[in-house]
Amino acid sequence: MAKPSEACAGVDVGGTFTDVVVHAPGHRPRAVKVPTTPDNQAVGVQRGVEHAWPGAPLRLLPHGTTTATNAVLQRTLARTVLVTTDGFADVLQIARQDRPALYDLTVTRPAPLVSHEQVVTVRERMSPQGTAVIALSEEEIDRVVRQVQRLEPESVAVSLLFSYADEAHERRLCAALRSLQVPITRSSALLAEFREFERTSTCVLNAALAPVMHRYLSHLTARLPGPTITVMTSGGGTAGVDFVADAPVHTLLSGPAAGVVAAGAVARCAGFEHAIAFDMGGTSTDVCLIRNGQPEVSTSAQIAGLPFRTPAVGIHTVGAGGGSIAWVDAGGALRVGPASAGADPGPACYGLGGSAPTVTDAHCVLGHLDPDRELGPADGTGLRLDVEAAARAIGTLPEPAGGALGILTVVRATMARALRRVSTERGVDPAHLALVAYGGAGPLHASALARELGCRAVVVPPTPGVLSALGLLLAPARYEASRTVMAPAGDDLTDTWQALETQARDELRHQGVTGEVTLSRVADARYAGQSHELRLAVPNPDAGADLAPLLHRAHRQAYGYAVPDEPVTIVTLRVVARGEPILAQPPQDWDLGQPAPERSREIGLAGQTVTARVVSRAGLVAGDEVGGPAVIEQSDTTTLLAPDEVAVVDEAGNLVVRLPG
Amino acid sequence: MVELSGVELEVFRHALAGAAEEMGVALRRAAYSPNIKERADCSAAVFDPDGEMVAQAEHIPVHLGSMPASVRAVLDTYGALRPGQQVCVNDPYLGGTHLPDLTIVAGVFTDSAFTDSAELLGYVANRAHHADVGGAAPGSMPANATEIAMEGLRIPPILIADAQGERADVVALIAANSRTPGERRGDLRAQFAANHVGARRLRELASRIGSPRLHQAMAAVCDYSDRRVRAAVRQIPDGCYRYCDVLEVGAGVTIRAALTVAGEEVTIDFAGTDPQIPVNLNAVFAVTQSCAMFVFRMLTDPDAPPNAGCYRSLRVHAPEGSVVNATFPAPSAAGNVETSQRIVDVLLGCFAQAIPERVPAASQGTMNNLLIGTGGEHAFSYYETLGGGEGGTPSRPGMSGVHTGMTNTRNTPAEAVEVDYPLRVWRYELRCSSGGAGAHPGGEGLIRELEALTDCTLTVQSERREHPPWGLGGGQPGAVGRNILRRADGTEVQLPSKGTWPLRRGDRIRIETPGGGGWGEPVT
Repeated sequence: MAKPSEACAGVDVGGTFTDVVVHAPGHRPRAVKVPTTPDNQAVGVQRGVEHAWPGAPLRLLPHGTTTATNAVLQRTLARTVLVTTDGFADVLQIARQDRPALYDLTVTRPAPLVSHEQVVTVRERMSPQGTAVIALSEEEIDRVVRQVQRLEPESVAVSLLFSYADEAHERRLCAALRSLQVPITRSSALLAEFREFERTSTCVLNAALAPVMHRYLSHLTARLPGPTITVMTSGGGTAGVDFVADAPVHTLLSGPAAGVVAAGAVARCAGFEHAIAFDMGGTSTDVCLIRNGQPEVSTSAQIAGLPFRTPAVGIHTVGAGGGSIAWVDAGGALRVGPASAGADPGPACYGLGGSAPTVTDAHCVLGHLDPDRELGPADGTGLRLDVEAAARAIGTLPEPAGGALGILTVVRATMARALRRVSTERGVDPAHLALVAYGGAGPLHASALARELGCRAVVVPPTPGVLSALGLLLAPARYEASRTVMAPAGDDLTDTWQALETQARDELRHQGVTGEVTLSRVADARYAGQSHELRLAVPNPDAGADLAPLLHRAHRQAYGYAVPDEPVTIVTLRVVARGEPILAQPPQDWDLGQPAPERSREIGLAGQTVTARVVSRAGLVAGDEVGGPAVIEQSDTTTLLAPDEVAVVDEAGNLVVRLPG
Repeated sequence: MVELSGVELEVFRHALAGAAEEMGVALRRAAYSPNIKERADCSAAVFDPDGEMVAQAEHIPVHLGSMPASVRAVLDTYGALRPGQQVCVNDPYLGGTHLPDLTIVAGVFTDSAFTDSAELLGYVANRAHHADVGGAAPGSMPANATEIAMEGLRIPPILIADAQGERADVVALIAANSRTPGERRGDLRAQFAANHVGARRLRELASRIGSPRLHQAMAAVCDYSDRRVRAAVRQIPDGCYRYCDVLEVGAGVTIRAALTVAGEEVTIDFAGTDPQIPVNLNAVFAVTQSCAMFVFRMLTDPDAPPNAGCYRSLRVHAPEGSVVNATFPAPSAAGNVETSQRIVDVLLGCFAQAIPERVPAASQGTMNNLLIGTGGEHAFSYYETLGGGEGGTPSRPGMSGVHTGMTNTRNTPAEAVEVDYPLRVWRYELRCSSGGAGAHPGGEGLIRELEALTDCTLTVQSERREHPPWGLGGGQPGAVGRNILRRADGTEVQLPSKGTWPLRRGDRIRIETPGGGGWGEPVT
């Protein structure tokens, strides 16, 4: 049963606004923004839903939340005890023993989530082969449980050495710890993969978040008893609330993941299989590589210096956005960021007291932004741009700095470096990629950046301001089962593959996923002796198929060479189970409001003043072409076109700017 | 001086730094040794046609000043490189630092087709610590070496690739001299791949802005760093400041430095430092220069783009034939990893008199090099350096269990060690109460204990086993480190700071690393 019979609402909670996109058969898609309620996001979610779809029932409510992210950033976490193998009490403090900055003495490592006093060590030991070197005795289990109890935890993390190879010791300990009646996170259940620090860090993050997420989801389900709620995970798929309550570490990139899922769907629907998602907001910019319509998923993310190894879309974030402040340093270079004017006072042109020159002010004085347009939600409270204030702010920079044009050039250099990180540095040629631009500032910079990198095209979706909420409707239910095997490539791994497939499929069913479930296999592999794995898609379900040729191909693509006579190690097997998304592709019939009549305006482009067409996005229909120089305006963003660029509106309502090869 | 607008400066700085970083990423990802991949014991940099460094990916401080020395040696030997040529070097007396660090330098030309009409754009170079290059003990840092010939294969600048591609004979020579030849071939291949990536990026940049503009940009980013650093040097009071400290060899080897600050110029002179010794702690000048650059960068403008311009206002003098400017045939394996740390302490001691409010107390002052391995059919070569206590700083306590000074390599996870080597890790924890007391206490050292699961050879290279890391401004010193061998029969012996010993199956080595010195009077 692919088509929902009733309405579904994707609800994404951001820092400032909670966005809702409603899909209902027989209705045009509808998008609503309401203020986020930081203390309890559930209040804002409920308001948004009531506003967007009053009075009628909802069947499904996929949800993007920053609850976990904020709890980690603000350290409002549960008091957690870590149980680990004797001799490794300080695994979190030591981390990988490197310091975060080579030369800057002011930078220090983040404090671990569990202090030394809250760690309990266990006399036991597994070998890499999964045999007990030191058996775990019943007396030891009793002692550990008593010691943990004395520490009065709100949550417990259990992470023993080599538990990925054999989980028996962890299982027995966790079974005994259940008597404490607090959430228990078992590392081998959460992440059966090698590297003790990363696995333990993931496990502890999860444990510290479990009570927080539990509380939030109970609020949410109490306020919205009707629809089935799912939560977006960092890996780009949704999961059931029970799963997320137990494994909240999976939601650390919830909101951004939904955005890149939508960007992938938008790119594909505009005819581009490979793309970069480019989300430029007020204070930061997220970029992510998309291949075959899917965001790249990796297992090496971190939050506030704390690594987690659960699947996460490969988003690279840079601390520069529309609010970033320009300044001239001691060597005479014009710099932009990392300081930001934020939302308060905001850029000088907002007229709220800001006086520092920002990227947005640069756009303002160059005429890229409509001085008469209202900012913020169209509810009459909006304010108009103060062009003079912007000019004054830019004027505070020393004369040779380069002014507004200089600011844009510098911020573009920062963005270009970020985009190279996720493309050329991964061995991907930008000539095969489209840039999907969203966020308030993305479409202003997109075509200039795309040309600098040599991308094929720019795609601006119809509703770039609510792309994450839309992504929730486009994301499948997703679960990834994994296990480290450390086996030669020729080994028959059929049993492990089958066990993982069963586990992944059962988990989705258990979460209430009906309809078709597709399974895909991934193997992390490397040449024997290397220690960085490549993620290989394993298309052939034949049991015992030799995976070595896949590594040779992937290695050649990533690094330019392969070593066919070298033995290959399969490090970790993964099975990804996916359900069907609510929407197979982005909706096409958005209501973008009343178009304003076409005008023209003098704007600054590449050092020249040109007369640009000013076109209302709401008035554009499939097949329309807009030639540059032009400014295409809509409520949540502005798209800028240079003189030789032409934007074409495709069937789905995307603006597509094809660039000369 | 080349004038570029503030905007262009920022744009080209990103572009050049991006090329170096991309090389570093390619190197780490494609390499074989855990040294390079897990521990990131490698560096990558971009140079102008004259061999001036214009950008560097920052991984390991000790490579700061020594990468330029390698490129200089290559150009002195071969003149300007021709299209396709890549040159390998590890000779400490000709551009290298210690033998395991292999540097490969490649010319970058406008035309990738290797025609002789192609114009030279600059050079790319990368360095990787290879786990074994032969010599008297696995890991190529034998503690008992009395001359460099005992430390492994010495490679003066030699063509390792030409217009026809990789020179298989040279690669075979290097591989044949290692206990782990397959790994050497893999790591060398990763080094070629990294240069390839850097060259491509530089060529793209040149095709976009033209090679004359590229060369202006290279000069301008160096000028820019120079301006920033000079602005910071002006804040340091003029004067001459002296300090000395010792290496734990025999009765002690003294390193002395005099720091002279005059306006925008800084001169460091190691006159009075003891002569080189027939022990592997000799530092070649490139290492000493790297140490000076490290401390200088940390205390002036740590954020200035790392290139040759950062060090134009810095002069370093060291007497030839001294332990900080060693000459052939002095063994040098540990000069890079141990003596370098002491040189940093001496320089911090000098700066502490000039700008006490900005200088941290001494950190652990050693890298605690631990090498275990064997040759033959079941050959393996495990090399690791261990973190310790960082000195307390004027603004915060020292970090615990962390690498400090001239290195920043990551550890090898126990779950990787036990899969890759016949070793078992029994303990990896902080060493309680080893940090020096202070208003900002020093960080704690580490304890790492490993059991040999087969007969093999152990080498330890460590320092600060007798003379503790000092405190500053009334802060207490950190605890000295200890190396303890526990035989399979339960007997324990404390090992000296340096040595090579046979290990029998069941023996355990426990390294307790030093704590950092405290900063400021302890609060009672």
